Amino acid sequence: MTQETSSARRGEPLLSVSGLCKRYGAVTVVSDVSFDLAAGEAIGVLGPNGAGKTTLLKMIGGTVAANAGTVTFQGQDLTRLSAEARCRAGLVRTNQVPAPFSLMTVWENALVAASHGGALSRRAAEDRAHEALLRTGLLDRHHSTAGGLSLMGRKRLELSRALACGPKALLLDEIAGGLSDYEVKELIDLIAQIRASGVAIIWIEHIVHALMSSVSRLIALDFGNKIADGAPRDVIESEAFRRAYFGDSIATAELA
Amino acid sequence: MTALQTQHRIGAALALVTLAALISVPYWGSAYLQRSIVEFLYFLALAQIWNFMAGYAGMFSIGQQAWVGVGAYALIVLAQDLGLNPFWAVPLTGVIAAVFALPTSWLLFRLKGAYFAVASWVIAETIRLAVNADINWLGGGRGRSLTTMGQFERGFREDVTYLLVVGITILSLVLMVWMLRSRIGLGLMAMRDNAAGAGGVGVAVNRTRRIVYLAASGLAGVVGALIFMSALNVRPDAAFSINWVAYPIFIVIIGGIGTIEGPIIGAIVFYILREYLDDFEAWSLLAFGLIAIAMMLFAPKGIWGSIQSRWDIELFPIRRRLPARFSTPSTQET
Repeated sequence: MTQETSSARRGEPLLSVSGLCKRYGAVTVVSDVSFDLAAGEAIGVLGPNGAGKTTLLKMIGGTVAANAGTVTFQGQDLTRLSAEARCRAGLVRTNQVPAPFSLMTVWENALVAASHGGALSRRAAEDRAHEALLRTGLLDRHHSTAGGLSLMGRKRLELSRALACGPKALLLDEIAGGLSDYEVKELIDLIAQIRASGVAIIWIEHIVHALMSSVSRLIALDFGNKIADGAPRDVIESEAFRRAYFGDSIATAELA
Repeated sequence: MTALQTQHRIGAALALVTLAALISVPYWGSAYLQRSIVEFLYFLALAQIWNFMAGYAGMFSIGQQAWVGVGAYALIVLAQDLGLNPFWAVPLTGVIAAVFALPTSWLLFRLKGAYFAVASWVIAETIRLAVNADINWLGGGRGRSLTTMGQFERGFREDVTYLLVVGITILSLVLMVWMLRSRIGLGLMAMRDNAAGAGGVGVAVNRTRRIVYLAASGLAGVVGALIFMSALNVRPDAAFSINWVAYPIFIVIIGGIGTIEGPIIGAIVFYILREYLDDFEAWSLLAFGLIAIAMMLFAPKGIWGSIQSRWDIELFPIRRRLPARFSTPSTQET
């Protein structure tokens, strides 16, 4: 796994995050976080609640403006661009709380993404929307109103829309949260397929086993700082990670 | 033929019959009928425009009377001061209203929801007060007359005004249906449902809003020019009257916000109500208010919205459906 990571990292990174900071008043939510994402790579982001994971992802996606730092995507500096523009450039984020267009049908939801995010003309957009719904298994529900979908349905829709945008990198914010074990397993398979099609992924998730089976690299955050970055097993077993989750005493006790 | 195609054919047939009837009115209708239809269509057009802004783009403006007034005064300046043919000046009044609306969008677009609504009203009031008190050239509080219309014989004048009003109503309707069916329309409906989510899938939210705001202001300007072309006299209090936005809001709420059919039904109901309530003068306003409140409480989707939520009906083809070339998969477990 370490080998795969290092070979994927060779050459120009797809996405380069450098020194990102976010402060709200006196509170620093994300502090000087940097990392690279290679084309086709999948990175998992772990950290306790309030570690700044979602804020970091929103800064990369463009819905939250960074106080400092840069986001470079395919060699282009996107730091000043809106979420809309980043989405059209191929950097697409899914929402932690699904944001369906609730009065529109599932089909229309996917079509909006394909025609705007994918910047496709009518027929090409329809092809893309169809393909996205086929992949996420929502095609059967194409005529359903998005507001009436179950939680799993809304999560799938969130993913369908992101795929319909034609992403090169996908930012997933707790897409497995609140799902049953069986649904999580389905989702892991789906994400593996998406990754196999060449889309790079940054995935925030509390469900550690879901991350471990899907990503080739983990980044751990705590109080806005990057505390570990590397092969999943190494990160999970690192002292810094254990201290963040279990506190000082257990970490040292176990090490002793 | 599917049920939906049948509905669209019915919609198209209704639209064509209505259009033919409207265009032929000057040949057979009385002057009174013609004037009534003109008045009905002003409100229908203003309601459609307001619905487009509020129902689709989420901009709850209560300041549309600003552009009605600017359009009316633009007509005075173009026809009376610059000597243009008043009929040819009409499209220009729309351009002028949109040009005036552009700088206000820079201010308004920083605001959301109720703040947007209040600010839009303040802008309209500011323009009204400025025209009323400070711009002597426009006649101050007494306003100005459109004496240049005297060059046309009365019957001709009323017929052309009538046809222009029919034209602008049809134009605003066609423009809206066309826009809603296009890529912009998909983005608009997404923005209506969830503006932040729309940005997340690449919809240029602010740019789309601005296009809608400018189109709505321009169309309101043209309607304003036509209203005062038949009134022959423009005063600030009349041109910038809150009624130019209050009645359209009433119509949209009654008929059903965020639909094309709703304002048409709402305008018919409004017009009938007004015919009956007119005798009660100030009480009629109270009645309108009570009806609107009752509607919001008991049928917030309006008449057409309530019909639509019970039956899957649509007279104008706006919604997008899975194309037939993707054969519908059988219902299988996903």
